This record gives sequence, structure tokens and C-alpha cells, in this order.
Amino acid sequence: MSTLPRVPSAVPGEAATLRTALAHCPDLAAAFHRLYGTMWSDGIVGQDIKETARMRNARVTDCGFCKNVRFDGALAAGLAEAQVDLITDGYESSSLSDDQKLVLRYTDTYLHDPAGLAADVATAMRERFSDAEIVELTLALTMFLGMAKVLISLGTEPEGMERTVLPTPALSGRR
Amino acid sequence: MTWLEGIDVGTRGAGATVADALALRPELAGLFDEYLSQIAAPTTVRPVLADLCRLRIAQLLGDTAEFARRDPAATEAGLTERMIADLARYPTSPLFTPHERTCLNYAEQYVIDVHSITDADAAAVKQGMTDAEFVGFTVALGMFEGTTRFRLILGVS
Repeated sequence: MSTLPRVPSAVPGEAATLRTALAHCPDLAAAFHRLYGTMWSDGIVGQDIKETARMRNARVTDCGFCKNVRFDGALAAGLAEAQVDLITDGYESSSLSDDQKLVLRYTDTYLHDPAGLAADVATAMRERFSDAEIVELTLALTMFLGMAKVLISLGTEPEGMERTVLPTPALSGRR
Repeated sequence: MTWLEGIDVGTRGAGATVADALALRPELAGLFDEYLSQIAAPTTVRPVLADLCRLRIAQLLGDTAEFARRDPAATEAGLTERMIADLARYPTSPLFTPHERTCLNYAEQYVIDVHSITDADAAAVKQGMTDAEFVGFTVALGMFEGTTRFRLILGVS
């Protein structure tokens, strides 16, 4: 692991971060932000549900930035920090809701053995979520994992970071 | 076979695809395609190098359908079936350049243990790449891994 950026910032006068590293590829960065912002803010899956999956990915992937970021839309949707604290390996015996535990089981399958989805988890997912919601949640996982690893690979993890609440990603002017 | 019952594969008689799944979220499908197009743009990644890594990641994760898919741009740029057949032996195969081996090793570390990538590993990948190419290549690996997992968990191809 490195907290030394492996690419310089593409934005003069600004430090190398994921944002300023992606700025080396402006069309790619713009396409990413359009997809990520729409998925978060114009999605059909609750932000608290997506944030639960994002936090599990952040902790399993051990992304120093992702672990310490919270999105305000999920907070507003009721995902309290006390619940976030329970998104750990012991979540099955925690006081998290059945929905949260189901999403965590699905997230763990995606991260560890995506071809091995257990039949009972698939059935429970179909009972709780629509197919469109499942697709959106799976696409969200795709982006969470991908960008967490990009952040780590580019050395743009912060050396130290306090918990930071950020606005939920959205298309410009769409919050 | 997919476990989602709402995917419409019409009369094709074939298995469901990523596009069929994303059609359930049409607002995201177009944006996803646009993002993938940007990743695949020749200005973002070198076709042969990117496709070697896409195929190696599919191989590592056991996605046989994706491993069987060919990218015409990579084929046109020089990717051969002999190289693909030798992909699992890339560390010693003479069919790969030293830089291709370095990048394939980086792709493997990316999937298996991303924290094991050292500054020296990243610097070796960057040799001969612009900053934009290195960023684009790294983002591409993320999408290759992520979409492979997407296909596998949803049972689409």
C-alpha cells in the first residue's frame, strides 16, 4: 500500500487526489461522474441500502478514503453511525435489520465468490427487491469496488482521515 | 443462467446478457455504456494490453463466457489466439513483452490483493505510459473486475 500518489495532479495548484488524478482523462472522468451521480441520486434503491453495501466494500477492500466518508443522503435516510459500526464481520449476530443483513450477504458474495450465490440469498433478494433494484445494487457494487481499488492503486488514499460527511454524489444541479 | 425472472431475452433463445440486465434500469444503461466506451477509447487504453488484462481477470475469476469473448479492436491491433492460449503462462511465455508481463502481474495483484502493489510495481507499469494512460489503464482494470463479478453474480454473460 502507498499513500504517496503514483500520478501527479492534473489540476494545477491542487494536490493529487482521486479527483485530480482522474482529471488526466477528462472525458472518462465526466462519464464516471454522470453514471455515479445518477446511480446515487436518481436511483430506485434507498441510499441507506446502497451506503450499507458501500461501507461493507470499503471495509473489506480496506480503502482508507472510502471507510471514512459518509454520504449525507444515507444519513438523512436513517443510516446512523451506530449502525455503520456494525457493518463488520460479525454483522449476522448484530442488531442490523434483516434488509441490511441481506444486502451484506449479497455484497460479501459479490466480493468473495460471485459465482457462488447461495440459493437462499437469491430467493431472499428476489422477495425483498425488484429485479431492477437488484441490477442497480449490483451496478453500485461494481462501481464501489472498482473505484476503491483505483484509489488504492493510484496511491491516493489519505495518510490519515477523520470521518467526513460529503454530499451524496449527484449530477450538477440535481441535488 | 440468471436468477432474475424479469430479464427479457425475447426470442433469442440464448442466455441473458449484461445489456439485458441493465435494460431493467434504462436510465443507468446508457450512462454505463458511455463510461465503458470512454474506458475502451484508444486514447484511454492500448487495445492489446487492455484486452490481455480483461481476459486474464476473466480467467482468474472463472468467467468462461467473458474469456471466450473477443474484442475486434484488440485483434486488429495484434492480439492473437496463441497469446490468449498462453495467457496463464504469461510470466515465462515468449509471446509477451516484458511490459505486458509487468502489466498482467499488476492486473493480478489488483484483483487478488490490491494493497500488495508497491510503488516500484506501479512505476514499472507506468514505464512508457503517459499519466493519462496509466490512470485510464487502472480505471479499466476496475471495470474489468467489477463487470466480471456483475456477470457472475447475476448469471448473465
